[in-house]
Amino acid sequence: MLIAHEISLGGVYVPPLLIASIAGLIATLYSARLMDRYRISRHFISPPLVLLCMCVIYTLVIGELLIGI
Amino acid sequence: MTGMAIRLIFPLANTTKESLKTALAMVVAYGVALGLGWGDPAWAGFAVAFVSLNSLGSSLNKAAMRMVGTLLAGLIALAIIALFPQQRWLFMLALSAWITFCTYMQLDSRFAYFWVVAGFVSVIICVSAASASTDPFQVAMLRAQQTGLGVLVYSVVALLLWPHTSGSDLKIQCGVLRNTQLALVQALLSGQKLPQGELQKLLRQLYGAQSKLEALVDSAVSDTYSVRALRAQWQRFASDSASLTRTLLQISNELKEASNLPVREYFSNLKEFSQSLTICLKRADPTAPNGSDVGPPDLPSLQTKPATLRQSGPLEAARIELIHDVLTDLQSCALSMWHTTRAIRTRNDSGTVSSHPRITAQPQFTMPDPQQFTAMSRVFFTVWTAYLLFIYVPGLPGGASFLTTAASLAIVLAPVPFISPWRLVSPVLISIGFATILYLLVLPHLASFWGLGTILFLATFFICQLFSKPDNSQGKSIGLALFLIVIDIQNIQTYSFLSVVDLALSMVLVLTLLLLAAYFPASPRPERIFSRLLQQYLKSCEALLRQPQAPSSGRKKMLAAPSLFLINWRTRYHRKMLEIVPAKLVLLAKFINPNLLTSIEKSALREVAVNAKVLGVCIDKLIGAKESSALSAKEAQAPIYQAWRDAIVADISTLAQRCFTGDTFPASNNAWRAMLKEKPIFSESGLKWSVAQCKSEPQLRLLGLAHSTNRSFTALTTATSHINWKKWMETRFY
Repeated sequence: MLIAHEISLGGVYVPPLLIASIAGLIATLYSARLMDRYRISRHFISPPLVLLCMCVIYTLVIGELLIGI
Repeated sequence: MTGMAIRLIFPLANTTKESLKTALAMVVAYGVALGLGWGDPAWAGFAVAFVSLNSLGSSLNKAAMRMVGTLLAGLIALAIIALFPQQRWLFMLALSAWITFCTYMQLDSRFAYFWVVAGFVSVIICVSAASASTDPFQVAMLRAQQTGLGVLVYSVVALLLWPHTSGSDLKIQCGVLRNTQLALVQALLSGQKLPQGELQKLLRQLYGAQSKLEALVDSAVSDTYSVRALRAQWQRFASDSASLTRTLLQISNELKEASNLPVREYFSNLKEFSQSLTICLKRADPTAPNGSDVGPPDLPSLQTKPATLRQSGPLEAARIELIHDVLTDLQSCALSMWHTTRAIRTRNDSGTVSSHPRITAQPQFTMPDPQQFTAMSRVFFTVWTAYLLFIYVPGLPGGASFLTTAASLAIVLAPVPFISPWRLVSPVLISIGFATILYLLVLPHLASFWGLGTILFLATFFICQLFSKPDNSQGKSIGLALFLIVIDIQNIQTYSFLSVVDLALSMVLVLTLLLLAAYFPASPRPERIFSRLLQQYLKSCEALLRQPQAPSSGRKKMLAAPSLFLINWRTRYHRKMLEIVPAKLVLLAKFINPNLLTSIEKSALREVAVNAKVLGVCIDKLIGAKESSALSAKEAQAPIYQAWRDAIVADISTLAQRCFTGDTFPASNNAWRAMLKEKPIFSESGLKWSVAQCKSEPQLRLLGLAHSTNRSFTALTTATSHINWKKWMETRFY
């Protein structure tokens, strides 16, 4: 279990949740592109809601396992 | 001579000249605002950034709309603040109602930008006054005077420095349109079979050229004296040209498969008629020098061969009757155009002779458009979400500016829901990054306005050049606006890294909100909007065909007056849909993801738009013929006509349903095409009229128009069958 701590970027301290959410957003966008590419997204009723949920899940997973939030 | 010398010394591209003008106007506007000690000089800079367009006329029009819109917004904002000074929910309800009203109006107005400005400036004034506890009157006045300054400075710079008027563009466009009209007339009346797709290409060119002409006349009226002096004649010319284009679209529908009907055999003087028509169109050149005027051409009336006509069946007779009417109408349009162009050439402003009703874009009292309600609800949703976040989320990045930015962008994006807010991400990030570097590393070292002016000039020039393509005009405006917000120049300058980070975070949140709101209440994907619009268009066709004939006798007419009002109200709306939807389809076709389309589908999309326009013209003529006094109520309600009408209405309804719900399509396109071959969904059963049933000429005309409508519907159905709707209807992330 990682301990939550601020991350220093060139002397500017940023909150770990910000880093985790940016990483989560990037992962979500790539996943969505892949799902479009392989026509998996046609099984979703509301892709915007799925996108939002994926973003939250990725952010929490990355934050908990890799960064510590 | 001097002009040539300047051109030789400065051989600059048009985009570079426009960027230089904007940059110079920006520096002058800031210089004046700072010199006079006015607060918020960025507002003058915004005016410069937003009114700078490629031609002087367009810029002046936009500048006027921005100024008048700002004044109206000031009035409304002060009224809302005065009415609800302490009731925040009522205050926000009134403000959001005004914004949604402006959104509705901008979607159905020639002065769309006026309503956009009236909407978002009222939010800026209200929110600035409410959140900063400053005097609202001062805020409104400051906004108006800074906007006036920016508009004035840009107008003066654009008038003096490389003025690019629309007059020259209008001349070129007139030539293009005339050549296309001539080519189409010659192609249709020569009787020769055109290569595959050639006619569709000409029709698309004609349609595009006509749309550009109308916009250019508006611009040229503002910036070219010779056009402004003959404003009424030029507007008449645009209207006559629109009539000619509509008639050409209709005649192309009749003559495109001339081999099915040997038209030449039915008319004794088609060759002379065609030649005189071509000469008339060649002479209808508004840009020709005055000395080249050679009088009206001798236009013979089209003669039919009665003997041949008697031997033909009723359908052929009806078609020939219709072709005769449309060609006569075409001749009349060409003559009307010749009269108008003669008035322009001879600078005769005493009015022109024309037998055609004028086609104008005047607003009419019609039934509300569901698409406009969709846009309104999206703006309402965005504004209220932003407002609730502002109230209930402590420390929201941007604070009050979060609400103003969200509301402003929501109104601006309302007419183009198919443009994703994703497209704004790169201009936003580039501008913020670029402005931050200047703000933190360069501006603190400046000590005078000369240094600041140089930096402003170079930065504005760089941003204008970066987004110089016409497609990037929104990116340019947003980029410049963000640049000015970040550097936040005041007479007493302060620097804060936090304010930049706050703005960046606020913009990320605003774009996220806009992305979410884009899906409210319906998908913003261009292909979905295309399907919805096509369905809406087909429903309008259906409604117009279903429409009962109005009673003609006095007492019945009086009794039916209230229902007549409703019928007319609805009819005006459906006719407006027939007029505006095809142009929207053309625009949407450009935005559909190319990865979703095959090469056949790409050309089919354009064909759908043109064929929809042709169908609209045919139905409009059919309704006109039904309403004409020449046809009695009994004739118009003949059972055979009713049968045909019911059949085609059912077919249109089926097509509308299939365009919308891809599920009802067969598994593949090939099967759909095979089904079309085996059992066409467009029925011709209603057209089996006998000679005895078509006694009168109006009845024959009605039969001809019914057949014409059938043909245009067939063409539309064929074009839609090339599109894989099922794939379009699949849900996707992007």
